[in-house]
Amino acid sequence: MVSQVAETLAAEAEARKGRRGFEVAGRLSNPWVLRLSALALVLGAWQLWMGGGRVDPTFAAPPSKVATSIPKVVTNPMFVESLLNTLQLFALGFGISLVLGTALGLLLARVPVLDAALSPYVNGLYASPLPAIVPIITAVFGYYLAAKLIIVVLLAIFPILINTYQGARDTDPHLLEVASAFRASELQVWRDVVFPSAIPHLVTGIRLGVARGLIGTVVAETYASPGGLGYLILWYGFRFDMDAMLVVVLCFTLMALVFSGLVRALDRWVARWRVSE
Amino acid sequence: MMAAGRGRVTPRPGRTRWRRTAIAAATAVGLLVGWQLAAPRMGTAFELPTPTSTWLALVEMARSGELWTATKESGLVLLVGTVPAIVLGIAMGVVIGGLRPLDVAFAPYLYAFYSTPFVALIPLFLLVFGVGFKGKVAIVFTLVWLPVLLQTIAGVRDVDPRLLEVGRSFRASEWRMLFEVRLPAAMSLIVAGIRLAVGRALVGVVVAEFDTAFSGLGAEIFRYSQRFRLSHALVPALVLAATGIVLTALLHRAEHRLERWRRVD
Repeated sequence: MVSQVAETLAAEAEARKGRRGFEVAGRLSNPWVLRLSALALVLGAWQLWMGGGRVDPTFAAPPSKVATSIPKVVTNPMFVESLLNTLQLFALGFGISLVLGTALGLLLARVPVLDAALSPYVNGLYASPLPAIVPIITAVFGYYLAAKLIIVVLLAIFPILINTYQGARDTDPHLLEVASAFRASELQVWRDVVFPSAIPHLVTGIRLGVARGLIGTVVAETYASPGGLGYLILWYGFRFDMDAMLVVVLCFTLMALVFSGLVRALDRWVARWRVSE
Repeated sequence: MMAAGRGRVTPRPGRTRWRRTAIAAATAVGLLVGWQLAAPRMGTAFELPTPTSTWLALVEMARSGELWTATKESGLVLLVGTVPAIVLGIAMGVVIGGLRPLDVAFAPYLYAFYSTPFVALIPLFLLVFGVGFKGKVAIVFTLVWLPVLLQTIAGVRDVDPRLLEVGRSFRASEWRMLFEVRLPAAMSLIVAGIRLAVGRALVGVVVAEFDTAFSGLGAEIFRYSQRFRLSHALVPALVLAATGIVLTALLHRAEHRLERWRRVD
C-alpha cells in the first residue's frame, strides 16, 4: 500500500518534472525566439566583421550604419521616381512575358510540329546565361524602353512558357477524349480543358518568372539604360556610399518578398478554386 | 490536331525521335538562312551580325588566342568559386537540415537572401572585394553556396520517413543514418541545387565582367558591343551559352540517376 502511494507520488513528480522540462524546451523551441536570436547572431557577426576595422571603413557597411541611412535614401528626390520606374519596367516586362509565355506554351504543347521545331531551342535558351547578350541588345536597340523590355522578357518568359507547356502536356487524356467525343472545337478544347489543367504548372512558372524578371529588371537598369532603382545602386556606388547601396538592394529584397507572397496567395486561390470545381 | 483526342496511335518511338530531330534541324537551317538574309536589310547604321560574320569572328578570335585567354579567365573564376562553395554548402546544409531548431531559426533569412535579385549585389561585392579575380570569385562563391545550402537542407530534412524507420529498426547510429540514408536520399536535390547554382554563377561572372570591363568573356562582350563590332561580341556569348547548356544537361542527367535513392519502392 505504502509503496504503491510512493510510486504514484514518484510518478507524479516525474510527470511534473517532465512537463516543466517540456515547457522550458517549448519556450526555447518557439520559432520566433529562435528566429530573433538567429537575427541577432547574424547582425552581430556582420557588425563585428564590417565595423571592427577588418574591412576598409570606406567600403564597410555595418548594419548600424545601414539602418541609419534608410531615411537619407528614402528622402532622396531620385528615390520615388526610381522606384516607380522600376515597378513600371517590371510590370510591363512581366505582363508581356505572362501573355506571350502562356500562349506559346499552349501552342507548343498542342501543335506537334511546332513542338519538334522549337522545343530544343526554348530549352537551350532557358539554360543559357541570357544577360550575356545585354550589351549587344543595347547596341542594337539603343537606350530606350524597348531594349530594357526585351531584357526583362527574355529572362522572365522561359519559365512561364516551359511550365505552361508541361502543364498542358499533362492534361488528362480522358478529358481530351471526352471533349473530342462531344465534338468540341479546338478553341473549346484549349479554353475548357487544356488551359485549366495547365494552371497549377503556370503558377509555378509565374513564381520562377517573377524572380527572373526582377533579375532582368536590375540588369536592364544597371547595364542597358541607366534608370530606376538598379541605377540608384550604381549612383550610390560612385559615391562610395555602401550603406545607401545596401538600402536600395534591400528594397529589391522587399519587392521580391512581396511578389512571392502575392504568388503564394494566387497559388492558394487557384488550389481552392480547383477543389471546389 | 483533333487526333490528340481520339485514341491516338502512338508511333514507334525510334521513328518519332528521328522525325523530331529532322524537324529541329530543318528549323535551325531555316533560322540561320533567314538571319543571314534579313540582317543586312534591317537598315541599321552599323553592321548586324550574320551567321557567316559570326563564324569569321569566331575563327579570328580563336586564332589570335584572345578567345582562349578570356575563356580561361572566366572558367578559372567559375572553378575557384564553385568548388569550395559546393563543399561548404553541403556541409552547412547537413548540419542545419539535421538540427531542426537551426533550420527554423535561419530559414527565413536564407530565403530572403535567396529572393534578393543577386545582380543588385554585384557592384557592392566588387567594391568590397575588389574588381579583379578576388571580387569575381567572391560573387561566384556566394551565388553557388546559397542554392546548394538550401537544397541540401531540404534534402536532408525531408527524407522519406520510411527510409529512416528502416534504418532505426536496424539500430543504425545517427552518423550512419546521415551518411547512408539521409545524404544519399538528398543527393538528387543537391545536384538540382548545383544545377541552379551553375546557371546563376555564369550570369554572375558575366555581369561582374561587364562592370570591370577588364578581362574575361563578359568584358569581351562589353568591349566589342561598345565598338559596335557585334559579330565579335556574339562569339563569347555563344561560348557562355554552350557552357550553360552542356553543364545543365549533364547535371540534369545526374539528377535523374540519383533520383532513385529518394524512392522507397
